[in-house]
Amino acid sequence: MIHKKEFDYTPHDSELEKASNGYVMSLIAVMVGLPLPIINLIATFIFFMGQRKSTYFVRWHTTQALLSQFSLFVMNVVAFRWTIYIVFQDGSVSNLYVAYLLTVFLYNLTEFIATIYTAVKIRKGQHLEWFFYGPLTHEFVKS
Amino acid sequence: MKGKIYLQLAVIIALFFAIWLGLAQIPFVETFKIDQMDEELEEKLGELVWESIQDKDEEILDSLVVTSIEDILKKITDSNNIDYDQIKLHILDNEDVNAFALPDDHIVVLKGLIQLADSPEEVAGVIAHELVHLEENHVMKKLVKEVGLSILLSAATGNANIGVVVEIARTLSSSIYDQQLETEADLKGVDYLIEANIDPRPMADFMYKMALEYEHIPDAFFWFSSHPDSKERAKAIINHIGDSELNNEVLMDSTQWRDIKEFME
Repeated sequence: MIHKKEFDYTPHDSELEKASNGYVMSLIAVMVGLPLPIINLIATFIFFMGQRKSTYFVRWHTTQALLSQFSLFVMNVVAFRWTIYIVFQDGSVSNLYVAYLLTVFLYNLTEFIATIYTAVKIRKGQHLEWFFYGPLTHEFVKS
Repeated sequence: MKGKIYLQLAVIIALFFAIWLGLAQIPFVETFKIDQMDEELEEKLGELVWESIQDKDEEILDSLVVTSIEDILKKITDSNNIDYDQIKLHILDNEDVNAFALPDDHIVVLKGLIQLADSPEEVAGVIAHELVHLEENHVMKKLVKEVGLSILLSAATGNANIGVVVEIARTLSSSIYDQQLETEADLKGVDYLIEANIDPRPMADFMYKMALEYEHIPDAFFWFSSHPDSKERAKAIINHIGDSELNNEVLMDSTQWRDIKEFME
């Protein structure tokens, strides 16, 4: 699901640090953001905005981090709204709801592990592209 | 490149739904007895709140009054496939014009409300309204919303002081439900009455009468003062009845009703 690929050029050490920090930012936000799903996205977005005039390598990775956060955000918002609905309106917990929470948890966990792995590898100078998010990032970020 | 993106997106979405729907086959609710936990919480809260109310007001146990009001309740429940035995009906010696539902299927009717009613059908309307609050789980929804689940859990497990229980009782007895829930209780209550062959129109009359008679409904008239739009609700009830076929039966003879009223005076 995560592919090691050759980047167009060899990034400088300072670029590796900034690109790696883009992923670390979303991890920090996970710690403070729960259970509000928007905090992760905001934190990653702020970092992304701060790096939008940075080098191609840094922009590429902050964009990949942002895009992956965005899809998680959608899943988490649905989980959040569904929970609010159950607590304040409907009052009944269904198997479908519990299954949805578990699925969202699995996706969040996968993303969490992938993010740590990517942050570490990028800091070591490797370029990693994620399944779906890698090709999508290429569409958004041009050299 | 775009084709690859769409294909991979489709894989992620398909995988998501496969995991979700696959996991949904596991009976989590039954296995972890989530429903039972809700029932236990409700039962415990009902017991605590009823005890705190009982400490304040004496319960009327006169057989004529109790049997008559219970008969009204039974007529409504039996006609609407509701288990009569699960409902705990209480009539309290309190002059306030009020009736309310408590967790664990308690319905409390205060003497003041029966005193003010002109007919047993008006009392039946109020009971039907409160019954809907119970059947549609409005009581617990309201408590979770206004008091908070954590406080309810602490009260039920004995980790909260008596003030919390009193606050829960106050919330249930003297404040309105959401507009949406009140409307649902009014209209479904009318359906219950029609199904039980009880004339639903006196219910609307009761509300309209109060709205007309008292420009500013006194605070002690809780059931009406906490429902400030009584006139509009009466109109909505009449509209809901519309052209429904009414097979009204006599709820109780006038002598019996007069005896109840005399006792209440």
